[in-house]
Amino acid sequence: MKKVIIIEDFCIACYNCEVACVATHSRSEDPVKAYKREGLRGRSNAVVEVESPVAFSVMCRHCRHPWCMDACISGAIQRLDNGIVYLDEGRCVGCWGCVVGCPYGAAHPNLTVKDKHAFKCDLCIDRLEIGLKPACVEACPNRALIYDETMEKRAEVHTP
Amino acid sequence: MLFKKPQIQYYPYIVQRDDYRCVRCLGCVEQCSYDATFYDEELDMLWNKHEACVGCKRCEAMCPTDALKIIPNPSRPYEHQSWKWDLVMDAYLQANTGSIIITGIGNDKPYRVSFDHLLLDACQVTNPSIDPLREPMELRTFLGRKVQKIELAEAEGGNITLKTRLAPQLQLETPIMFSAMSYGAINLNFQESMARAAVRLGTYWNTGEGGLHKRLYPYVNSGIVQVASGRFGVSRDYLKVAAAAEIKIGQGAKPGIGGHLPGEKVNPDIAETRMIPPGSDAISPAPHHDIYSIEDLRQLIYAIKETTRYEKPVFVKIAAVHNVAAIASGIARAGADVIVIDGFRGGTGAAPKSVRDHIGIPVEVAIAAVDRRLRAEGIRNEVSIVATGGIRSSADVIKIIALGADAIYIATAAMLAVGCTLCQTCNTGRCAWGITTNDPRLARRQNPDIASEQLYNLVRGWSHEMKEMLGAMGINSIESLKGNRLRLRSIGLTEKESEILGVLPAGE
Amino acid sequence: MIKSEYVIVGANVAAVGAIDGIRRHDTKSSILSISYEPIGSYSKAMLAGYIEGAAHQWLEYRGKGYFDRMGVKCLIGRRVTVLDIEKSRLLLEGGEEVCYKKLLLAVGGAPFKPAIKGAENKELVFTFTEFLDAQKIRDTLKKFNDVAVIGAGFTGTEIAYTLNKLNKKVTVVELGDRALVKALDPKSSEIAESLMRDEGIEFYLNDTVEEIAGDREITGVRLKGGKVIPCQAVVTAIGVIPNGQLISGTPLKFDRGLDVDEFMRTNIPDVYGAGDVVKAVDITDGQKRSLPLWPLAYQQGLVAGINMAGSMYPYAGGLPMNSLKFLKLPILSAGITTPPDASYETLSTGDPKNSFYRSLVLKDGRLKGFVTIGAIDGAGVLTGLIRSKIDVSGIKEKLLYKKRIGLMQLPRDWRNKIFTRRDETAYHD
Repeated sequence: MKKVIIIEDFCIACYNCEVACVATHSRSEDPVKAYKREGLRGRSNAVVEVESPVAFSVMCRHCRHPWCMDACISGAIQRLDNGIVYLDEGRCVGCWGCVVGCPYGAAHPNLTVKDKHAFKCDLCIDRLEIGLKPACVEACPNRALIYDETMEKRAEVHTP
Repeated sequence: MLFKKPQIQYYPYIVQRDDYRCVRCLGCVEQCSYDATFYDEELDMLWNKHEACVGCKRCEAMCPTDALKIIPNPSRPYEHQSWKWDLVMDAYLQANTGSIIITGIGNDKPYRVSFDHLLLDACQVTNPSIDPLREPMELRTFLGRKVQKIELAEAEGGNITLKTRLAPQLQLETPIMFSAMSYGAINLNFQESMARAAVRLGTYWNTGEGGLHKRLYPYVNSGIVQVASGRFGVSRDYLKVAAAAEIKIGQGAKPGIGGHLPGEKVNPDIAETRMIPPGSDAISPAPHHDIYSIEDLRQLIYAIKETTRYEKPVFVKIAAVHNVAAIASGIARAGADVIVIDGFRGGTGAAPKSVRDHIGIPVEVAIAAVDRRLRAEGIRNEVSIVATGGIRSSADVIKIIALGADAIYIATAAMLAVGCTLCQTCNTGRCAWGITTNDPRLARRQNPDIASEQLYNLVRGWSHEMKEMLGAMGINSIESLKGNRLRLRSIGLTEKESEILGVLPAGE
Repeated sequence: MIKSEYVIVGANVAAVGAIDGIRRHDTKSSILSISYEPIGSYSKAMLAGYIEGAAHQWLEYRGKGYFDRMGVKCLIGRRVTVLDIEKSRLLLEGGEEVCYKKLLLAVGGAPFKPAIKGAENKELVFTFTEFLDAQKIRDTLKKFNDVAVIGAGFTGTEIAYTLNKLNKKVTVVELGDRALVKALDPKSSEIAESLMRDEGIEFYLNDTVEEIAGDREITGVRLKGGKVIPCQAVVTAIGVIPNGQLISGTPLKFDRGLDVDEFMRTNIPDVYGAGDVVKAVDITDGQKRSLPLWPLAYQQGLVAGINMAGSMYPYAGGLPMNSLKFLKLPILSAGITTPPDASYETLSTGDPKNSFYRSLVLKDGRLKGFVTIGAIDGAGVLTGLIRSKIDVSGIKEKLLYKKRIGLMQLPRDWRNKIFTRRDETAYHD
């Protein structure tokens, strides 16, 4: 299964993946409106971790055995036939089982009182359907995120 | 704290932020390597310290919502025809520091660029032009000593063989090479990118004086290794593995000046590559301490030739200075296979501004002078000439070849291909584009996968354009253009300038 | 007589896990799921929501068509009365016979009911573990205003909180000295308790209900300490014990839980167990015990299903994880939160307003458990650290103080394997 491969050697902490993620998952699909009008700040499924000089963006790994799904009491998280681990925000009851279950910290709680539910990467399922790559991959200016099958064949590249 | 020394306030750039478009992603804070951007958590605002901004435009390029613009400060010092604003700022700065002003990149003063006063010829009616998309067009060229005449022999069975022993040659699929930039001055990712691009393009890259990193050994067949006055990283293997060796006497941006890589930039990896202790200053003396004459240079050239069993061409690189033609003649006679002439618009990682802006001569003038002198002395065939320092486009390449060069080196253009914005702060080691820095946080901004593609694209584009221009002139091989000044005309140059370049004025 | 290749007693989360597991390897054979409950495959952890008024369809966490989609026949509302191991068959209520080739016992747990004087024959004495309980409470909501909840464990606090939200006056009686003793450490118990007190829930700790007063209608409960609390309803929520009803009298090994090996097999060939009924390995200390927790039930079911379909896939052991979703501040915990002896190291931090609290329990440099309150994003990384048994002694400070825990502190090689390699996750990573 293709997924987002993270090349931490080339993450430059520009946060473009976060903004692209938020914009893609907004109603307006516009970053400024998504942050300023739709209140989606902090709702990126990809989260950039920075501790200079190291940086990387982490999003759902779409595990074969998703811990988050096991812990989901409402059935909001299910593994689709194409391998995508999908969280239906409408069915989520905000029990945070996935948050405590995911060993990569890739399921996030939305703690705002109005709208308590978890959210996680859906691999931009809508974009994939029309032949596009996930938004974060497309937004990454330094190819630190790649949408690909596997990294086994690729020689590792390191910065000193 | 508001207090600062007077005149700092006239900083050159303003970071203009559209606060509504800014979504507080904090990308700009991470991108700025000059501490000019910071986030105020209490106010949930991003602020800029404009006086720290060097105008590298990294934040502007990376802003995902187009909320940033770096603009010249309209209130930077008033200027008049004599005192330009940067001179005024320099005076302020030196009054505060009392030290030499160091800068990077190349000469930014408005000297006349002769390239922009040269026009190319084209065929009309009486001789046919060539369409490079339909007919063969050759950019291939060879660098190295050419013999006066060749002798052939007929072997048994009628096969013709070459009797004359040829000097070693470098075969270039396009006459554009990547110029010397050392590991230390630039980062390894960028050097690797040039190496990869050179391999793919069938041309050459140059290690610079900083030695050859072990990661770049796979690309060394297309590498030219440099021997400079500091002799960093030079060993027998270093000379033997490469395609050619280059003795660096001078650099166009700072003729007569040595180099100095401060100890704090000499990390263990650089130290290993340069073969010096980590943390020690890497000082390249201004002269080679064993070269005080053409005869001394000849000794070094032949020492290298001996080491490499006369299998590799030896380059000698000098800065373009006033009597460059006579020096070049001496170098040719000293046994060099290739002479590299570096013009005064060439780049540097760090040089005193006074030197960068006021020493040397333009490469196009130097090449014309050197070519004419060597022809006059009948030794033009004994060396190839490579021009570098101030070549900005495919048209510049065509023009300089018509003025007598065999090939060219690019460096500033290569840096532009991977993002450089000419902010002239290479010397700080904080290049926000990750080009002239080895800070691990910044060096990762050059991904060799991307950068090598960019470099490849640039040279490929130039090569296509060169083919078009050659075709228009009815020439099907770059070799036929070398020194062919009849295909050039000058415009807006004085009679004397045209005479030095060896070209006729337009209309004549 | 009904014949089926696979028979699953139970239709809840462990059964769903088993169906998922079987269908990974065997898409053809017949599967039969039998449950006495009136609805199949619902989420017990969401029953509080049902009491609050949600539709029962909302509880069906795999959606209506799940069993059809997976090609599973269901006998809903049918109770298994006899398990006949020797003849590989079950008898249903009404005498119908079901023959199996492979059997999974996913019969779940039963509420632990202490013998309390006066608890019999009263309408408004409830337990709170399954749909029928929730329905009973929901149907009789109008009949009481004051309610005593016995037990301040996970279900106790949840039902207390829910009833409080429905404007009932709730009193919680707990034998132990603090609430949520299994899931939390003393300080976080205190925070959770004060959060509930703020909502108006009363607590009586170190005490227990001795008698439920009243004839048919409850008038109050009398505590051992002597105090009498007036109320009209009582909920006992002391805990869940493995349900051994069907198993007693069979050769199956059952001692405070159905005994299973790492492949979820019982001591009888072709009979498997999963869910709240079994006792399986707890990875924090390697001991076998009953851990009636949602994710573990699913995982055990899945492993059982995979193995029933012919594979040999080991269960890596369960890790107790808890999430208190109903409070104002989210509280998450996993593993050992209160160190049992001095060989454990405990680190904790918090802010004075108790809006953030975190404690870590370590042994030999390995993380064994944690509690985090307020800042929960990335808490799963800690869970992952417990499972992967990486030495965290060098990074424990950062794990403690960083509000959002990420992968930055983890070893680079480990991290990059996750980032770049093909997915190799299993229950033993």
